[in-house]
Amino acid sequence: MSELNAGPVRVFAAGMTGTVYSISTPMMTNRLLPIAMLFVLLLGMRAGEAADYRALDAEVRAVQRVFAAAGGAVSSQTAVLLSVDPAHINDAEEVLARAASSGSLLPDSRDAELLWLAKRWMARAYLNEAATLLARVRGNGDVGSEKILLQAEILARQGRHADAAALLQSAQAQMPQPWASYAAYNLAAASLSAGRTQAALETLDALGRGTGGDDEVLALRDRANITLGFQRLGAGDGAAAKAAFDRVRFDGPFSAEALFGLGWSEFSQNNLSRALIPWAELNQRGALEPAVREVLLLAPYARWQLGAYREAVEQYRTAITRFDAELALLDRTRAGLGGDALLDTLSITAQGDGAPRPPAGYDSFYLRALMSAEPFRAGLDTLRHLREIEREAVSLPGGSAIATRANAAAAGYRELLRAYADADLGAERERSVSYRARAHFELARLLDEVSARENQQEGAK
Amino acid sequence: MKRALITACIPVLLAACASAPAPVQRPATVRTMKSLDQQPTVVLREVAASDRQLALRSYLVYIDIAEGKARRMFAMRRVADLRLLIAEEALASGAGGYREGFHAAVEDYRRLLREYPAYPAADEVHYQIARAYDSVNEDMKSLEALTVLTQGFPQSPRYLEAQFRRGEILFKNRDYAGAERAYSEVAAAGQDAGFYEQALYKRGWARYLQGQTQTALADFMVVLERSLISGTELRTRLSPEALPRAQRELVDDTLRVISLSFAREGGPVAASAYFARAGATPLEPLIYSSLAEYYLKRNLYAGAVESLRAFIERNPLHEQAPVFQMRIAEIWEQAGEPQRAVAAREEFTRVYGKDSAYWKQRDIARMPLVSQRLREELMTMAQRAHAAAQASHNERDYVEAARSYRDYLAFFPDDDRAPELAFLLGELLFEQGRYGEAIEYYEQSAYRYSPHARAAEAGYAALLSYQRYLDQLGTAPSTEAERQAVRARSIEASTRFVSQFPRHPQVATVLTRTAEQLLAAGQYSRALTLAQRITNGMVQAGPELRRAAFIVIADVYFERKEYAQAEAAYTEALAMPAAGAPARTGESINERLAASIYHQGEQARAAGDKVVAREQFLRAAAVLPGSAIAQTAHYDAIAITLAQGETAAAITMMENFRHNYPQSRWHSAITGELALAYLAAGDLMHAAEEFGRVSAEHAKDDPAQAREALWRSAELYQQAGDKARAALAWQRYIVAFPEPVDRAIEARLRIAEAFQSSGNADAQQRWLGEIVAAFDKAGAAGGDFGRQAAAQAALELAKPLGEKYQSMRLVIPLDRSLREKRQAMDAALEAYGRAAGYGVAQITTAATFQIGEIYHGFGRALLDSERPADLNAEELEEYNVLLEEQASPFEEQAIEVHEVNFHRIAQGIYDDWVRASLDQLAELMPVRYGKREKKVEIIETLQ
Repeated sequence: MSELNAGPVRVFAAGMTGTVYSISTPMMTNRLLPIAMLFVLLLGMRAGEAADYRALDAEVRAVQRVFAAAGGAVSSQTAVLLSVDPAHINDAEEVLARAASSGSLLPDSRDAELLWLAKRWMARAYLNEAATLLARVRGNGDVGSEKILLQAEILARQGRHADAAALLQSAQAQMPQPWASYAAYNLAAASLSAGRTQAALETLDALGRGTGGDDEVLALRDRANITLGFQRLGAGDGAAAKAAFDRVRFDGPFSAEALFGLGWSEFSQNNLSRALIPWAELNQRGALEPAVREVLLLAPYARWQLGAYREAVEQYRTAITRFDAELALLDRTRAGLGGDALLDTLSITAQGDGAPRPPAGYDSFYLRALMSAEPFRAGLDTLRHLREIEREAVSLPGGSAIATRANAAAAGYRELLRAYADADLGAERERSVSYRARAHFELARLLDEVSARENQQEGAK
Repeated sequence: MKRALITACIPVLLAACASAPAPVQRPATVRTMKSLDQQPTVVLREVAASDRQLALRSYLVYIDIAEGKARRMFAMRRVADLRLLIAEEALASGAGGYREGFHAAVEDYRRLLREYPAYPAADEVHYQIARAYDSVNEDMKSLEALTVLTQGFPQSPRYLEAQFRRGEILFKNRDYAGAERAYSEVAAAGQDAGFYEQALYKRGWARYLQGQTQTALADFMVVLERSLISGTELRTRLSPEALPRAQRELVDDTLRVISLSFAREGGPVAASAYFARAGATPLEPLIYSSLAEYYLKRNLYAGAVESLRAFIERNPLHEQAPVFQMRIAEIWEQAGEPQRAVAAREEFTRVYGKDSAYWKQRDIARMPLVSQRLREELMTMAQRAHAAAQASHNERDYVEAARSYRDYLAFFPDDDRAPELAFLLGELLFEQGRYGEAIEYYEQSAYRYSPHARAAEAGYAALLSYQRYLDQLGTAPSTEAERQAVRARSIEASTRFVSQFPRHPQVATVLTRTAEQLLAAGQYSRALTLAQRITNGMVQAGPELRRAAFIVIADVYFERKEYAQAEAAYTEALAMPAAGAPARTGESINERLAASIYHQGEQARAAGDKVVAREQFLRAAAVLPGSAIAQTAHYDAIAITLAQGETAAAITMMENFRHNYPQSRWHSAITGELALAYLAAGDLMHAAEEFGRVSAEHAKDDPAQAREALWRSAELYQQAGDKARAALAWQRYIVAFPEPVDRAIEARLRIAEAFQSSGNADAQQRWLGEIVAAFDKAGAAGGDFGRQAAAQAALELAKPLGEKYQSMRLVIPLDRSLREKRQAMDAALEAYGRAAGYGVAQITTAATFQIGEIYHGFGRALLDSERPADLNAEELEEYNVLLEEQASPFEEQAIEVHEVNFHRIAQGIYDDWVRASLDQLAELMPVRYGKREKKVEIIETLQ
């Protein structure tokens, strides 16, 4: 992530610079598609619902208040944690004012704090309240750009896609980079949701054809190309889709999606052997991400269709093996998350910028994705703070009671996180099981066909 | 066999490099997905080893973990199917455990239906369950599954098969009624729905086994029809061998059970009754023959034969009918009944002969089987019947043999044996005396085929047949047309024979006979050509044939009026010896020779060369003296001589002719010519004599000529001065030709004149009387001449009476004298009165005058009468006065009569006798008639 806000509170905006919301892709109707799981790629991770945290938030705030009252050092972030409920907006402002007066908060970062708070509320689904908060942001430039992006997101989440599109459209020109790119991408998303597909595709195409820019812009461009590619695939235009996928960087963060899409572009044009090239590249990458899972089924299917029966059988069997291994990893991860240690480790690992790194033996695409998901990550942050309070409270007078209370709250959060993780990884496991079953099914069908061909040849003799 | 097909998809790197811009040092060029375009891909197209167990396991895994209903149902279905398959393979390979496998499969299927009661292909599953049970021979469970299928899924594509299989199980378990119902369900779906034939076949059996033969038959018939009939034709003719094996078996079985059914119902009669009721079908030959074979297998020969007969009776014109008939013969042979076999064969050749209705619209060439049989049978029949006919002379054998030969030839005209058979048929017909037909086949044998051993023999036999045929036709007018035709054909045949078979020993004879026939037919050129081949030595021939040939040549020339050549040829023929009793004797040839010469005379005459003509005529007459031609020639020579004016020579020739040919038809002509010739020669007596002959010869045939000739003969006699012969001739004339009367009267007149001139008054008087009598008798038929002659004759006859009266004087004794005078007066008056009575003016005036004079004469005779001597003067005076008184009325009378004549002047009649009467009147009445000239004028004036 770029150094958006240099300064003491830059932590507020960590990882949250550009918000990209989901674009639902039309279901693939191509009959060659073995499993219509493409949506997984694009919907992103959904770890729990914002509303689930609300019940615990009060206790966390109480713990923080008690801790603070006992003289505990309350970080601004912690303070903001208290404000996750709009009903306690005054508490938040009070904390912020105090922080400002103590010099720990830069005077011109008020808008940034408002934005940060608005995002928190949005994460808790307080959309109207967040909108009110955003209205109080007065700055221009980066702040103003982010404000408009968030306002547009709220409109979109309220189903007012056309309004969102209009807002982005009008503001886009004045935005500096990378905000303009985000605006463009989100404009495309809003247009798609509003049913203005052609405009959306043009926007994505323009975005995808851009040059230069920093990593964030490049990533957005890749993403635009990915979205454009799948849109074109959905419209049945494999050649055009390929052109979009071709523009994606080979080593970028969306290369897996691009390889997958590229294979599909060829596959949809019946260039089965050409489809195998990107899919083979994807297969070589270790991580078993959704695109790879798909390809584990698609590649043997393509070989089957090409008459490479032996290879197809082999690849199905390999797929089954990999799905088995994936299931074992998922089961181990879920088992690990059943204890406190792993969650606590994760809460620390999740801290800071950059991709989260799960501990060895548990590293998987899914766990990383889970840790990157906003609600889960937020939960981990809270857990970490509660653990800090618990640790620091010991040295405070009456601290043991506070520690005990923090410990209890942490336990509650752990349960909540565990439930989220379980739901998420459980769903993943189900998908994986389904993929594995599907591999068995396809292998069986393939063998049926092999038998049938054998019979046919014998019959011909 | 590991056949790997490696497809390497390698993009054209060089091309890509070439089109790419020269690499520019570009800092940190970002690699994109596009770079993959240059990456090759390798796909090994290889087969994989099949692994049903792995497939089964894979499906099983899927079933346990799968969430998708459709795929899971599919997988479950596949699991069950694979189990069933594996079990079936185990069963087939003899491996154990298949029973469990089938049951496991059933359990899989049941589980599928349990978990997915609405499984869309549940009917298939029931079907598979039934199949599995069937594999382990659990019929009832299989039936149960099928029943569930049929009851629950009437729309299932498996429905009909399920019903059929139900039928099979029920049938196997002897529930025929149930089976029948199940099969009926299948049949009801119609012929295009599948299992139709099998269902009908099995339903037929179910019905049969329930004793429902008729309905069973109906089913079996449909099965057969479907298997064997295409359109309206039997697809495979009689034999179902062309069918695929399975279908052939079905057909065989069906035929077998149909035979069983009909046999059960009474055999061929039942079959015919069935078809009569159910309608004819192209299957009939198959069914009847099958029935026959059925009986045959059981050695029931009569039944077999009856079966075949039943077919023939129903289908006498069916293409297969003859095959059936032959089959009957075979069966009888097989049965050890050779006579019946022969009878059947005979029937075969008879019923399917060439003229039979069977062959009306068929071509035997298209029926090799029947053709072969006919060939054999006809030959056998012909030979047998021919031999029998020659032995027995039985008409029936002849007919049979002839028919067989004929049919054989008609059927197989190009057969190698055809020439021989045609000859034999000719012989056969010849033996029967059927020459006309024999000719046909002899000629066929002789000429129709390529040369063969008996061709010449046949050709000659044909010629003999013509001869016999003509003899047979006889001479009745009713057969003349035919005879003519036969003759014409015979000639052509002979000509053909001669040219075709020049080395045949009878060629010379045939040549000669043919020439004769051509001659008779008026084909002179051809006759001449043929005959000349004999006479010029081209064909060796004996003297008799040469003689005959010369005759033909002579006749031809004769017919062509080339008489000199004819004469030469006849002369040649006469020089040849004739053996036996030749048709043309020397005499007849001589006649022709004479005729040839005579015609040369005719030709010379026509050319105006009378000298040569007479010479030829005389030569012709000399060839055969006394013959008709000689007579004619003689006659024609006479005619030329006469025409030449050589009267004397002609008279001599004619006298000779009359002497030589007293009976000649020209006899009278000669007589006439002779009469004229004598006349011309001035020999009146001979001429008169010949005319008399002419008259006699033509008395009957030409009375007019006879009359004129006789008249002429009489006149010639008269001219010759032989009055006696002339009178005799006139008298003959009167007798022979009393009519016309005037002509006969003239003849009498000529006789009277002849007597007058010879001074025989009495004879003259008599012939005058004849004239009068003839006219009086004929009356008006006597004509004017007759009247004139009669009147004249009557006047002549009256004249002597008048003269005698006038000559008589009145003498004393006066009374006697008076009386006598008076009698004479009356006779004269009567004679003149009669002459006047004919109304001939000249005669009447003469007679009137004479009558007047008779009256006048009597008065004068009174006045001049002898006076009695004893009278005194006075008395004398007185006597005289008295005499005058007495004489006066007579004068008056005379005047009156003359005045009659006088009055005729007014009628335009004025002749000598009128004038004489006027003179008498002037004398008698001078005052009145003295100036008669004037008076006449007055009278005329007065008038």
